[in-house]
Amino acid sequence: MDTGELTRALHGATENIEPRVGFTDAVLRGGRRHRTRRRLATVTGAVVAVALATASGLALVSDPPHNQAGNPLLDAPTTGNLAGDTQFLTDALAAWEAGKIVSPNVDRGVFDDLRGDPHVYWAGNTPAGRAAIVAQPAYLHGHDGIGSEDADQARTLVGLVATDPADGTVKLVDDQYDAAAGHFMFGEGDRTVLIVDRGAPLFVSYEATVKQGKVTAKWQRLSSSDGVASTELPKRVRSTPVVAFGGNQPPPDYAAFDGRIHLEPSSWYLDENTIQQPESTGLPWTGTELAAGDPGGPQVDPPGVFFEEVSAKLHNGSVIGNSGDAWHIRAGLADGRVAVLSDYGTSGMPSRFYAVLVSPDGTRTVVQGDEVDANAVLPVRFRLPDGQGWIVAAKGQSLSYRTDGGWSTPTQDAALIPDAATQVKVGDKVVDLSR
Amino acid sequence: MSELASEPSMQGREGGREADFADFVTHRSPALLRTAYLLCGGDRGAAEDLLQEVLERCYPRWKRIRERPESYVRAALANAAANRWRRRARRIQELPLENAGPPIGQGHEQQVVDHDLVVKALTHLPPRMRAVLVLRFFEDMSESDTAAALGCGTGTVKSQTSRGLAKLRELLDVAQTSPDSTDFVLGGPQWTPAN
Repeated sequence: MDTGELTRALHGATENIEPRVGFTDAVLRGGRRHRTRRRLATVTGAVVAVALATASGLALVSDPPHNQAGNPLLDAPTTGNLAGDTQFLTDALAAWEAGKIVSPNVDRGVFDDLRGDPHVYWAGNTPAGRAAIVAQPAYLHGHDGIGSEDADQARTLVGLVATDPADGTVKLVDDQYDAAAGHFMFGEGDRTVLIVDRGAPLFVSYEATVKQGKVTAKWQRLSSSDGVASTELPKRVRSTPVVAFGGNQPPPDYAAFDGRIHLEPSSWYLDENTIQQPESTGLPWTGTELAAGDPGGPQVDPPGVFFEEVSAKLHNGSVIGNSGDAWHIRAGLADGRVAVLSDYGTSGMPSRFYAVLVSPDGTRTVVQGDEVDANAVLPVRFRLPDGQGWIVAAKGQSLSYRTDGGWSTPTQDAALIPDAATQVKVGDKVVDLSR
Repeated sequence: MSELASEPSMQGREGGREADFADFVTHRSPALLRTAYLLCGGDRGAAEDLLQEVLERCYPRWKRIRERPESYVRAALANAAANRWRRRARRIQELPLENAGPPIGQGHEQQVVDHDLVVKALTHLPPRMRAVLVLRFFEDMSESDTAAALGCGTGTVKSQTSRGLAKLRELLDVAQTSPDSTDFVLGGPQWTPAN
């Protein structure tokens, strides 16, 4: 089969695929919920956490009623070396109550039919600080956002309360509702793994070898105590998946499904659901690719390099989302490096300019610039380190510069200009380069 | 400033934005669903779930992405599909290849079976590798566009394409030469306990 045949087969296989009736309306309803929840999350979380702290503390001194029979997550006495810290347990339950309001799983109706009180299953110290696993019984009804294997049955919701490294506060950093709920990666760089021990041997893999195109995962057996297994991962290579496995013999690669425990960084959960997405505070240059300076230098994939490095820098080592069709400027510098410049906005903060400097040996350095002012006459004026000059850009405009004397020959859209430049002419307007 | 005074009201802007978004969803969902269908290895229900989730998340960001929404959504779909194994409670039933049946018969019937077989063979590839093949050979995206969509380098796209095609051919060869076989799992190295 050649690639042409593959293309024809793929098109042939999909020619009769159409969305169900009412699909657009369902998307709009869901979209509105996302918008509303994001707005709510930014203003209510902290207030609710305080308000509920006292009420939920009552659950500590009474057995949870109506809980599913024989479920240690719900019934067993709290374990862990902080099990006797009543204040922390109270705080954990309060954080659970507050977190349920802004959880992404609210949209799936996961918290609509709770069948008992929350219970702290485990509380203890971890490499990422104090943490608690909280469980609460619920009945999951059929919902667009819930898989068929979870719908219309009783489930134990399991959440992790821990410190959010982004702001240092203790909050609900993940919650899960699947049958194997209770598997977390959290803390700085999402390097702390904590998994509820359900009896089967637990393994984690964070590196693999590749020989002749075959991937072989390396597995580490986790030791359990007090009903959980945990480990701290080494500083991760971002492209390497972290996979856990419950059972006697882990599979040789990551493709096998049975026994796999889905580990998802809690930073994804937190970034996705407690942060107001900025609305277009970056430059409206979507998809624009500009070049300046020396066209040589290291070969890079500019959007990928920029997104990977800057996202990782701002998200504790995790690359979140994708570069989409972000704009960028590629500039070849006099010292042999290549600068990839674009803007990046997250955490409800205004977008800023960043440049990723790539050395011929592949070393990458991220340099932060000013906040974006999309209405400026010269929107991009980024001074590079080490005297490598300025990257300036104004889409659709002719640009020239001067140091002490006359104006340089104009270039269009973007330019790499000397560090000593003092002014830039954008069309017929002159802009001073502040230092 | 006069620019602000002349802008439509917030309610008017939101209404216009929603109408614009609804128009995009209505007209582009069929094509996007076909991409999602392949990314999900031929699971129609999972594909609708995936597309709906991605589109819902696009709604609050519509103002930012409206200039080139389709490429944004395709990239988001590819990434969501590639990472979906990580997502809790979104376990999508992967259809066993043996259920596809052998490519018997001729003409239109055989074509239909072959198409089905190819889609089911895709389910046996790792999600990211599958996404690369779908973007390259269904969406006809260049290596650099595919790399940008998946947030990786073009070298990764090249290697994933090469390996993905080889695995796909291997799977299809197995299916076609052993029509009665119930095991189409590719051979691989055995697990070696870490010391």
